[in-house]
This record gives sequence, C-alpha cells and structure tokens, in this order.
Amino acid sequence: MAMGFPEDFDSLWDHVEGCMEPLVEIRETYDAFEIYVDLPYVQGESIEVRFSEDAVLVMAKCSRAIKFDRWGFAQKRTEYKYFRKILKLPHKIDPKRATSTFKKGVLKIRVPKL
Amino acid sequence: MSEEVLEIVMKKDVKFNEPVAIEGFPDVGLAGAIASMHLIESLGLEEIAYIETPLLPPIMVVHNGELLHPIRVYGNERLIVFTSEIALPLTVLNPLVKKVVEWLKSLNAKLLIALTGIPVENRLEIEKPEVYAVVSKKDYAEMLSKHKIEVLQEGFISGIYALFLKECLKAGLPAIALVAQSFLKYPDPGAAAELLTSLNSILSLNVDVKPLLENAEEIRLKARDLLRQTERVAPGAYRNVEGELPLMYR
Repeated sequence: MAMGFPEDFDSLWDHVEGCMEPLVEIRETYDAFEIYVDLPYVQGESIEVRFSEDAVLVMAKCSRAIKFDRWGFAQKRTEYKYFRKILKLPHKIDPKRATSTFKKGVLKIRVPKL
Repeated sequence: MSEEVLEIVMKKDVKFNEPVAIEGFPDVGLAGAIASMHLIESLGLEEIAYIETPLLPPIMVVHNGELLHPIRVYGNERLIVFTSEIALPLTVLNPLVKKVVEWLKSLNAKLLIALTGIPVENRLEIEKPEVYAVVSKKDYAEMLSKHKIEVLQEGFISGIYALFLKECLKAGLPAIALVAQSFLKYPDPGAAAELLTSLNSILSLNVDVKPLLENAEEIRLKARDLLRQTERVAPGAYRNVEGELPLMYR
C-alpha cells in the first residue's frame, strides 16, 4: 500500500488505457470504512492500493488480457488489462492502520477513520 | 398507467401442457438472472416469446447478429423461463408481473418458481450459499422440506419476486420463490449454482452447475454492467426491509 495519487480518472471503460472499473461496495462503521472490490481475473500480488487523506485508489493487473471480440462497438477493439478505481470517502482516513485481504477474487480493505 | 401497454408477443406456436414457469429477472447479485440464463443454455431452450412495452428504455440486444428484445421468454410445452438482459425499472414491474401471471393462468401453468438472491453481509466467508424458499401457500412447505429447503416462516420480502408471489396468490397460481444467500453488489455465480441445484431437485432436472463455478470469473466480468444498471434503476436499498422484523412476529 502506498500514499498519494492523482485524482484524475474514474470512468466505466477506458478504451485508451484498457482499464475497467471494478464493482465496489463501501460499508461504513462508526470508526472505519470497509471497502470490497470485485476483481475477477486478478491475482493478489498484482493489486496496488494507495491512499490520500480521504480517498483510496485501487489498481490491479489482470492475469490475462481480456477481449470482448463479439461485444459492442468500442469494447471489441480494446484489450483490457487492468482494473482501476478511485474511491472518495466522506471522512478523513488513517492509512497507516489500514489492512487488506484478498479472497475469492474480492479485495477487502479496512481503513479506520481519523 | 394501464397493463395494456405491455404485451407478451409469441414467436413460436407452442402447445403448452401445464407448464412450470421460472422467473429469473435481474435482482440481488443477479443470482436469478445468471441461473435463468444458464438454465436456458443448458437445456437448449428456444425463444418462444418476448415482452413488448413502451415502459422500457429504447434498448434492443444483438446476439450472433440477430436483433432481440431484452426481455425474453424461452421454453417448450412443459417449461417456460423468463429472463431479461436489462435492469427492470420500478415502473415496469407491476404491469410486467400482472401480465405474466395472467398469461400463465391462461396457459394453465401449474407452478411459478422465482429465482433470486438475499444479500448477506458475510457472503465472502460462505462457501456454499444456503437456499431458502418463500411460498404462496403454506402447503408447499412439506414438499420443499423433502428437498431440504427451509421455508421462510416470518419476515418481509421485497423486490420483483415479492410481486410475483403476490400476484400468484391473487390469481390462485401456485408459486415458490427460491432465495439464495448472495452478494448484493457483485454478480454471484455461486448463488446461481445453488439456486439451480435446488431447482434440479424440485423439478427433477439435470442442469450441470459446474460451468457456473468454473467460469465464475468470466460471468462476474460480463455481468458487471447489468449489475450496475440494476443498482441504478432499482436500488438495492428497498431490499433492506428483508432484514427487518415485522410487528406481528411471535
């Protein structure tokens, strides 16, 4: 896990960079956020998580390039290799006490509030 | 708004013989939608009808170069399966469910089974999701217990399957909802597999659920957009009532 990232990207499909936006669930408790990120075709070691004071960036490389040869107009021309998502949170967070696990293709990040 | 604005348009002439109907419209974790699509593919069911209505957004689907309606009906003389490739806006649910139940009554259908999910917070820790049932008539509980399916005794239900049970109750059409423990925000092929395992038992089908588990990553990836749509048009929030206790519980 690392600190700091540019907050300039958050689209559904990025056909230029071959990025997909993962499905995400955020649960808020009184003292922390639990973030669940669905990352099919991803191995745990290829996940990178970065924090800013009130946001989390998740990046993950897929274990193989994904092509939708028969799908849509834009997708069929692109190979997707990454997931990427910036999650803005409604409170400041304490990344130093953040923990994460990766199980069944779902990344769970727990980050306490400041 | 009248139900007359929604039609079931037949594509094939089928001589129905007391069919059983399966409903797998998009809902929590897309468990029912994934299950119904796998059922159609596994049994090689043909498209027999589609839903035509101006209540839906202007969307059509293309498969193998063929133009299709997004809400379709597959089946044969003994089995009918309803599925949708788009999320169903709340405004279409009542007219759709009423029309489908009215149509099934006219076909002398003997049973409707709704397939859906129930979100559980610890789904990530659950290896084999449990399947529960909600029934339109208490008598079905004994039959379901033979298939090791526990029937909900107290609680709220909500979503399209609740509407189906309500309309079936009014119309006197036997109905069962199979409800699998599921993710709320991600497609859940594991929950779909358990729904089909229960369906196999009840209807003596032989649908192989292994492909759902073996291809789970591919299914999760392909179903992302439908799940997002489902959340947008019919937010999961209204399903939260299912975690609450009704006043008259004992």
